[in-house]
Amino acid sequence: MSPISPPSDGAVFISDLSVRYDGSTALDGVTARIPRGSMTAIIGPNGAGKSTLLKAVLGLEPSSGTALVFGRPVAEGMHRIAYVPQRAAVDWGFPVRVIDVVLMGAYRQTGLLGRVTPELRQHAQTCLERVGMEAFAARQIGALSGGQQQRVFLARALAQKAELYVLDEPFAGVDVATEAALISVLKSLRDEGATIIAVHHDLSTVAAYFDHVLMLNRRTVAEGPVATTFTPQIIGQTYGGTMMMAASA
Amino acid sequence: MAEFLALSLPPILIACLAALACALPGNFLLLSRRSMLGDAISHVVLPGIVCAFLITGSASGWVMGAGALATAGLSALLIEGVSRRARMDTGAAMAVVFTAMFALGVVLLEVSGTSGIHLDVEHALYGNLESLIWLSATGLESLSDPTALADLPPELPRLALIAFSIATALWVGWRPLVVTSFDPVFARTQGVPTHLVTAGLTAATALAAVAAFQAVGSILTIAMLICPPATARVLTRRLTTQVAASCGFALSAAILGYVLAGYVPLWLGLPFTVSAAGMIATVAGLQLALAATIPFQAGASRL
Repeated sequence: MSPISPPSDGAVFISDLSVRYDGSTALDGVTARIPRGSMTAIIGPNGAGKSTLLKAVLGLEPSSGTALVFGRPVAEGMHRIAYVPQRAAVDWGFPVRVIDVVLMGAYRQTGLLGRVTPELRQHAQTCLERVGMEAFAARQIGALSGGQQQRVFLARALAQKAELYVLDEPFAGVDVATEAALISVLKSLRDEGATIIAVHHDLSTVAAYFDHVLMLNRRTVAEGPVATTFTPQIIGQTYGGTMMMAASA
Repeated sequence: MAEFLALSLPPILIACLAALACALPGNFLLLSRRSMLGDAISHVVLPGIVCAFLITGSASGWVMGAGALATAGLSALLIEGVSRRARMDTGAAMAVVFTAMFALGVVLLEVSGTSGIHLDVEHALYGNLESLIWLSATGLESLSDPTALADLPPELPRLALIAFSIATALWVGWRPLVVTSFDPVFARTQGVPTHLVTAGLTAATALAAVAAFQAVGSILTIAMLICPPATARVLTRRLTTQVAASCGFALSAAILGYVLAGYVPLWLGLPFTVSAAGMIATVAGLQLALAATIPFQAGASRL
């Protein structure tokens, strides 16, 4: 498919990826090499195509170009990826309990008729403990706060036992304690060898949370280690100079 | 007793089975915010049945059912086409397509003079529940008499088969259906064939709507697809409880509605009875209204 051979140590390799809807261009030839074991932020202004990029890479959005995960077409590696959609993407009034949502993460591990074994249930409970939600297993999801909902979503991703975690604005609208808990879980996953990619909005925390950054505004503005890439000049280019800079890079 | 067996038991059983067949897929239409689809399908069934009759000249349930399923499929394509070509949202496209198709069905009925075979506008709305009688029933012993049983209205075994098939399909496909209804994008990342699941739910809805329409008319079909699940949704917090409760509401509405329509006017000495299908749909609506008035404290007392 691709004339360039991707580096075998990369987690995600994106080359000339474009997404177009009825004449308008959401993404235009995006290129990126996200290293394995990195914690990568995708940042850019509203409408930069950040969520679209995640969906296009995962094959959830029609696109042209190349996207490889662990050196293979994404369809072959879906079982190694956990995707955490935006919280607002689902109806939280849906009549299921917290543990049921987490068990959805074990979908590939259940048989044809979806029998949930005691081992799977135990693992789902462990995932809830990891995000500090073990006491809420039997709680209705409609009774959760925004931060708790996001923790449950992360627990569902943990239940997938993935190697690549792709999160769409995991910190949007959550409380400070949840943000700290989520980032600590993500960092521990990274320390265990997983790769984390998250769409991120808060420029003031990029340097503290992430080690790699993809600056996006419909196309790749810059990509690389936070220390050398997340500079005031590149941030200015990404946001088109309209952004008042408050972040210390 | 013989009179009850002959005149009331078959319509009550048929109403119960139609209500069950509709309520089961209705739960998932409601949860995936596609309630309008049930409405649309039950309307487009009419032109399908009329066309099937006009083309084949056969009033057999299977022929008309095939015609109805064909128009249900056609309208799914039309809805898709209208929303894409005219850039309408799906709700508006459905509203356009299903009202137009239903109106076409009414016009076809009127100009083709098919009213001799239980195909007229009134029957399309209310069905012909009261006419589904079992003349061979002479007493309780008829229930074990094969000759008498063979004379049961054909709608009864057909609806039993369809209700059973839908229940089985729901049981087998429960997990993909739940994941797809809750979070379709996530479901796709898990390798769930979401398009197949959605199409399967649409097919089950169409099957239930077609079978129910022939027996009980479009009003009851629409009511039974959404009212019992909606009532259950208000009162329950677990999905399994919701589905079970929706079946309970469907059955109780069918039985209570039939009794209210067929027996209560007689007991009161009134010179008329009312449409059973209309009364069943009314009871289903009242159930929902009652459930909605129950005050819950943050849902704490729900099942």
